[in-house]
Amino acid sequence: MACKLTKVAHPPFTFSGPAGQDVTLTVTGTAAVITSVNYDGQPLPQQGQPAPPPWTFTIKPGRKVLVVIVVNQPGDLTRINEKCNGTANLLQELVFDDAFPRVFFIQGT
Amino acid sequence: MPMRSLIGVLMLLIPAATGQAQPTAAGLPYGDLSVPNALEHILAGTATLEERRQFLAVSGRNVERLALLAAGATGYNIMLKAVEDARLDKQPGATPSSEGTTSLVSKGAVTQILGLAVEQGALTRSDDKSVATFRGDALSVSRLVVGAQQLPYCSVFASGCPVQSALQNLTFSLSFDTAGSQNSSSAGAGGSNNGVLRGTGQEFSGWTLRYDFNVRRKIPAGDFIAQVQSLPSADKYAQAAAALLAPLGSGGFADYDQWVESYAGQLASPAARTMRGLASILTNAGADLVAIARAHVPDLDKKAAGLLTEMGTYFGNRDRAFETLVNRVTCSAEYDSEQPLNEPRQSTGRLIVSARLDPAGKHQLTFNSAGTWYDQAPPGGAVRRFRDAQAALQLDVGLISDGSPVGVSMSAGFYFQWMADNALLTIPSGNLAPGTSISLPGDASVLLATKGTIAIGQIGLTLNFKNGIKAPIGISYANRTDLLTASTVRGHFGLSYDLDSLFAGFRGGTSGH
Repeated sequence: MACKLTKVAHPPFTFSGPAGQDVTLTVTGTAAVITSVNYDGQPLPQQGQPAPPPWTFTIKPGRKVLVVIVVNQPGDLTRINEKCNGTANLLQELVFDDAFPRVFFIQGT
Repeated sequence: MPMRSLIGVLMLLIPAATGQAQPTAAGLPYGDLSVPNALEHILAGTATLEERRQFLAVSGRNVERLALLAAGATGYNIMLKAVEDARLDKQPGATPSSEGTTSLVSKGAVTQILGLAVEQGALTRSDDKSVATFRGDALSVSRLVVGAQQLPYCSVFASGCPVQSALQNLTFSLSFDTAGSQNSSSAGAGGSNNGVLRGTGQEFSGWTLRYDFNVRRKIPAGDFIAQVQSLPSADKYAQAAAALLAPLGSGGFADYDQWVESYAGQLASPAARTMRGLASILTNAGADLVAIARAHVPDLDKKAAGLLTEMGTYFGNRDRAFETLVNRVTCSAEYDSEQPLNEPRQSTGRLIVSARLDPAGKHQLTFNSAGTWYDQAPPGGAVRRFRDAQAALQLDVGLISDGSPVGVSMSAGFYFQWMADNALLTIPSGNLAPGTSISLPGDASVLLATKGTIAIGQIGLTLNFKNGIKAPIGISYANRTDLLTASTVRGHFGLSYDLDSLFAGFRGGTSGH
């Protein structure tokens, strides 16, 4: 599955993608785990426990807020990605400080 | 007066430990410190435009900052209250050697902010009475003095908070006899005033100072991930963040974008190359962002408070879960000074070892050993100054999962006390000699033939409510007490309120009864 999200120049962490397409999120880091994802005000169902769940949502038309809660060990380099065909589309890179909400604006076209 | 001395020492230590001088990175009013190298590059004047934009973006720590700024002066206390509510691993109430306690051993972690608990029932003394205990730690008192945000919340596994950790590990308690100020020699003279703290000097019954030494360990990644996946859902937390920020993605998007571009430019200015100058820019940035949010987010205050509550709840749940991994073993040194009813003032030195037996922390084993001595040599050398030695072992088992609104834990404990000599009673003038109708003309010291061993077994259930109320129920058997040689079987019911939860909701007021 090719990457669906394309970075918009600004404001930061804003991406565009074709409405109706699925986007799957992953996280990398020594002990990084996504614990919750909320897209357009709705929590994504957590499936596949205890294996890492496929955090997948379908892009809606218009600009929607995506909130990702990640937990990792403090100080660890953490990347939130869109999972693509054998590659990862970097959405946000951070040195993990705490489980604060990571916020994206997704523009469905 | 010991209580005044203790408070005085704490008040002197707090400003020295916390000190307010140059703004630190953690003390910046806004800015996402998790953006790799952004802060360093901004201070060096080498930050790229994208680094500056990401530093300002409403994501990560900046979401918390926005909510705090929107919620105003009480914002941080809302979050701390939620953290406290989620952490149930605390022990309001008097220490085991104090009269009126329903605990056989001291727990490995003690409550964080001032707490008042009123308990009924006695375990190791002959009298039944009410004890009100104020319990706190230096971190919580420091936050009251210098402001909560000067000593920000740190997760249990964070390594960059040495001041908070040291202050948090220093705890104290002050106990007041709310029923015994009648000073009757008859045990259990509770009367109708039980639980009412009148603030008289005679009510002061003891104080405790304690330091916890946590044996921290680095958590293996596999254990860390497994523990994260066992946490209660973060969906409500994410939902609260989405509710706050959704309007910025719709009607407020253009204003937000313009705000980012404006302040990203200011972060490239020379003024941003000092921490003080940067803090000034970020203070203005935060205020302008709140103004944008207020213009576009309906019920901003309510949504900000809701997010802080959910954030604190999630953090508190996580801390409790991870405490079992990080602090598997806690060693504590404790000093108790107490004035038991009708007995001379005593001191107790105590060593405590507490160990979690499983990663989930549902099984906790605590061992105490202690020695008690009279503060002043008994008159005429009637008995030895060393009063007794004690040892206790308690197993706590969590019975109901974290998701339940009411937590239930079961405990079973065994307490052993060796009385080095006969117990010493001080009977004030005007009272009756034990077992007689003889009125004593003046203070008298009386010995009871209680030299030897005391053994007590107890099992109990404790209901932990989310609002900080605990209701312990228990039954104990003792072969004797330290004043009476007959065996006793007692039922106990207690009700304690942890004022951590209450006081976290507002800063300053500490009165209660």
